[in-house]
Amino acid sequence: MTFESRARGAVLDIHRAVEVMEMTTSTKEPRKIERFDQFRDRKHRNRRIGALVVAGALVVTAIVVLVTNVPRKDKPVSPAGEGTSAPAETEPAGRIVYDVYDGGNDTRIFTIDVAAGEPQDLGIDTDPTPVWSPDGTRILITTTGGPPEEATPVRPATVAAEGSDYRVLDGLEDPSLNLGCSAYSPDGTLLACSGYDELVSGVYTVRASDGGGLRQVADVGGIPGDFSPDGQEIVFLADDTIGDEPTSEGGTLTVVGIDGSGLREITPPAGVQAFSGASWSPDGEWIAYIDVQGRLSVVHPDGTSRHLISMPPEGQIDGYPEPPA
Amino acid sequence: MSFLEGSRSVAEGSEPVAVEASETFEDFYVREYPAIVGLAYALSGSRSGAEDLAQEAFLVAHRGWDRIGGFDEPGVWVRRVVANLSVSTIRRRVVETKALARIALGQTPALPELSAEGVEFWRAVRSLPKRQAQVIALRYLEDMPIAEVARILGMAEGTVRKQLFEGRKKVVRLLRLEEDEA
Repeated sequence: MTFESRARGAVLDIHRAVEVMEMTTSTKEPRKIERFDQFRDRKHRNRRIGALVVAGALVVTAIVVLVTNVPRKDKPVSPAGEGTSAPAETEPAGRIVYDVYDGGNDTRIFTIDVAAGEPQDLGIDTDPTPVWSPDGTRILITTTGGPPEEATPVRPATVAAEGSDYRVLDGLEDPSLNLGCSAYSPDGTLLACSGYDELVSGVYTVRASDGGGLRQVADVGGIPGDFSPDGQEIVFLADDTIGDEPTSEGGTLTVVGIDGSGLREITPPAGVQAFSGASWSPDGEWIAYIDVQGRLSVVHPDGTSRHLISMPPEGQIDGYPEPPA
Repeated sequence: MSFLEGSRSVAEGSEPVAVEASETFEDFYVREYPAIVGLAYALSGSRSGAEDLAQEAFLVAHRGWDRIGGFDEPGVWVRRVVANLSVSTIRRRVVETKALARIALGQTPALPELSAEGVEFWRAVRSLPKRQAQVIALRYLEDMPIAEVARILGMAEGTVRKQLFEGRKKVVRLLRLEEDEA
């Protein structure tokens, strides 16, 4: 069988599937344009509850802090900071940074004061996953590619805490590689990034100062979540399972050394909610994440002792808060 | 635009100058919906998420319909949006996660499963670099000329031909197909 004949059959399959859907929606379900109206209404409703979701995110943050104090059965609890080089404290003066996807092609960055609860729109359209620098003075974001006639590679960038002083970290020599970064090393010197071009996809590190010093640490695509407290490892959400079929419903939490050694999956394939992030506890013992069913979970960095964290009855987590009304 | 979507803007830059909208959004939606859902299904492989991906693209068009409806071919614009949304790891997964949550609440996906051969073919296409997957899907799903694919994706025709050639070669290898007659 040739490509052309195989492609024709596969195209017919898609067309038949859409026809079946059309017949279904015209006889048993609302007509198509009404389905669009329903979709739009659902988006509006989600925005109205966005404020509640943001409040939920604050609760999650509190829970993650609690998780860092979960004692490991085979090891006594250490006083905070003991045995670690630089426990992360990423929110300056109690502000959380988060992103809001508007349903279009960009995402807006907000910060919110934990105590006051008043969100501040930083006025920046960017990609998801803004991150505080360890010293709390800058926010790491990602440039967009720009319109075709002036397309530039995707690059990490930073802004000051209130959204001013936009700086692109364009220290890469390879203009074809797109790089989006989503984690600072604890000492603030390195960024962990997802990189790709038309042919390759992987996890990289670059210098936080200028975006140079590119180093590939994994040749599987994924979004970095966090550095270990000693700065020697990175946890990232792999797009695909290593050596297996690509997944679509979730990602696989994966850990790798900053020198590319020790690559290992620490959750079941596709067991993690897509792009929900992952946080390493300050004592290095646990990694918190949201499983594919929206439940807060923790696992040791070696993949052992994976378990759910108790949540209130309404405690399912939506990792993608929408704009407050 | 997500940094996982590719280095080109989804919907900016190469649009024709807008004039007064020549058809209603409803007419446009009803006419284009099957093709847009099909494109989303082929490129995302998601029964649960394809319809939402298509709706996302139409929602963006709806918000700017005064402008987008005035384009010579607003369908080009929406195809570009959905082609990028469908291969964007972030966007696709956001949509799928929410769709799966609705399935968990008892709603069923509107799209039926493909045949085993269809699943295998589109899975191979989706394993390609994103631009190659988009080029193959656009070219074959609507029997689209190279120039049209290039316009939708904002690429040069020569680049589309190269991506098509490379993509086909990889799918032939992946599925162990025979080479087509020249």
